Amino acid sequence: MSDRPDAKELLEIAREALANELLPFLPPDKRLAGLMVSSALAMAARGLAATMPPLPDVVIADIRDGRHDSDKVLYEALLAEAKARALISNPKDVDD
Amino acid sequence: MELSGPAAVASLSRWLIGGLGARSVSIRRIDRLGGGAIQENYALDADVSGGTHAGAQKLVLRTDAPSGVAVSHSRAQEYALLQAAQAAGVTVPQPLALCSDKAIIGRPFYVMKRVAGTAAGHILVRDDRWKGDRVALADQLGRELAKIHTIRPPRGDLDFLPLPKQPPAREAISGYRAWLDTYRTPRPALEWGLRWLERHAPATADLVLSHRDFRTGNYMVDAQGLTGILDWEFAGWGDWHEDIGWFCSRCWRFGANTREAGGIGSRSDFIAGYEKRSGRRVDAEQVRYWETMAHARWATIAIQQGERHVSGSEPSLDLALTGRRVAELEYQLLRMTGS
Repeated sequence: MSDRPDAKELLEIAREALANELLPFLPPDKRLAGLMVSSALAMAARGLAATMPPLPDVVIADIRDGRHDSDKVLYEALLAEAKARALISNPKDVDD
Repeated sequence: MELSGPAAVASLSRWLIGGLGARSVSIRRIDRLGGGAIQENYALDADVSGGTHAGAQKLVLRTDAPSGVAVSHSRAQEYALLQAAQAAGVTVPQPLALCSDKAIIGRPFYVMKRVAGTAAGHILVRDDRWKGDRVALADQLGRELAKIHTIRPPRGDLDFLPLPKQPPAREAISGYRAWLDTYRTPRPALEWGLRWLERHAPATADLVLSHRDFRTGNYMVDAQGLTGILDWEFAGWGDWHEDIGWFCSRCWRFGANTREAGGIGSRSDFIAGYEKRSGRRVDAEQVRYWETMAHARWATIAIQQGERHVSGSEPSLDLALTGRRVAELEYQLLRMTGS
């Protein structure tokens, strides 16, 4: 059990306060830093809410040696796992 | 030594008299410029008397950041590259003087003319004030790249650049794998991409000077158009398709994905400019290969940048966020290497 607001909710309201109460008043040379803070808060909130697929258990040397070149199952698992991470860090860049 | 301190300013002024061949130099302003995780850049305004640079000069002083990336060139090497580029007709900030003596400001540095405009990618791809004519800009960037690629080995002035011992693509893959072997966590998605790149690597390459960071964010543009190609610290002998792929790759469009040439113009305008100036015909498949390589390379660099934060050596929100870009790079790399 955790108290409400939970970690995700705290991050979300912190980001809203940043956007509404602080960002408009930042001098131009600090705006990028403000946007980066906002981006980090959003990413952390998405990370807390996400359920991650497992990273496939694979030996790197086997990939390098070509033993998985035609391994569609591994490829699909890697793709799903990378997509889940990308949806946390930059959902705008993920096409379906 | 702090560059803004009076001792550094006095020392720098005295050095600039010799460096610029002047009678006297008076520094009016030194301000740190933004950007540059590897180098530090300072805007330097000076009144110069005597010599060929007499008058009010707007300059940039470029020096090493406290923690650099191991693969980047020294300031002296970068200065030699800038001179070679200028001699080849590339639009670059004019290099004026190099100082390897650490006694002047504590680090090696060089001074070049300051060019107008902005390099900020997120502004260039979105803000119409800076776009100039996007067709002309893409065409000109293609021509500029073709001029860079007229610089070919062997060159005595660039003899610090090693010749690749194997085809450039294979050499790159070996380098990324060697680094990944030293990293604490396996990266199977990146490894999958590298294996695909190995299987499809071009066997030979026509070697040219590859800028290796020719992308939006590393050239200056004002309302009229291009004012200078910057950031030569990664340049080396390589495959001429590499820079085209890096410039066009999705990961350097700053979110403006429909403008495939660096988020600022169309791929066809950029390639047409390159072909007209170089006389080469650009092979779309080869460019696609190097766009895929661009994702593997940028993913590797992003892990390294993130690690500078994670290791505690250089806590930085910017570096931390760059570290998290690895996910989108690996995802796109996988999408490009499915078969």
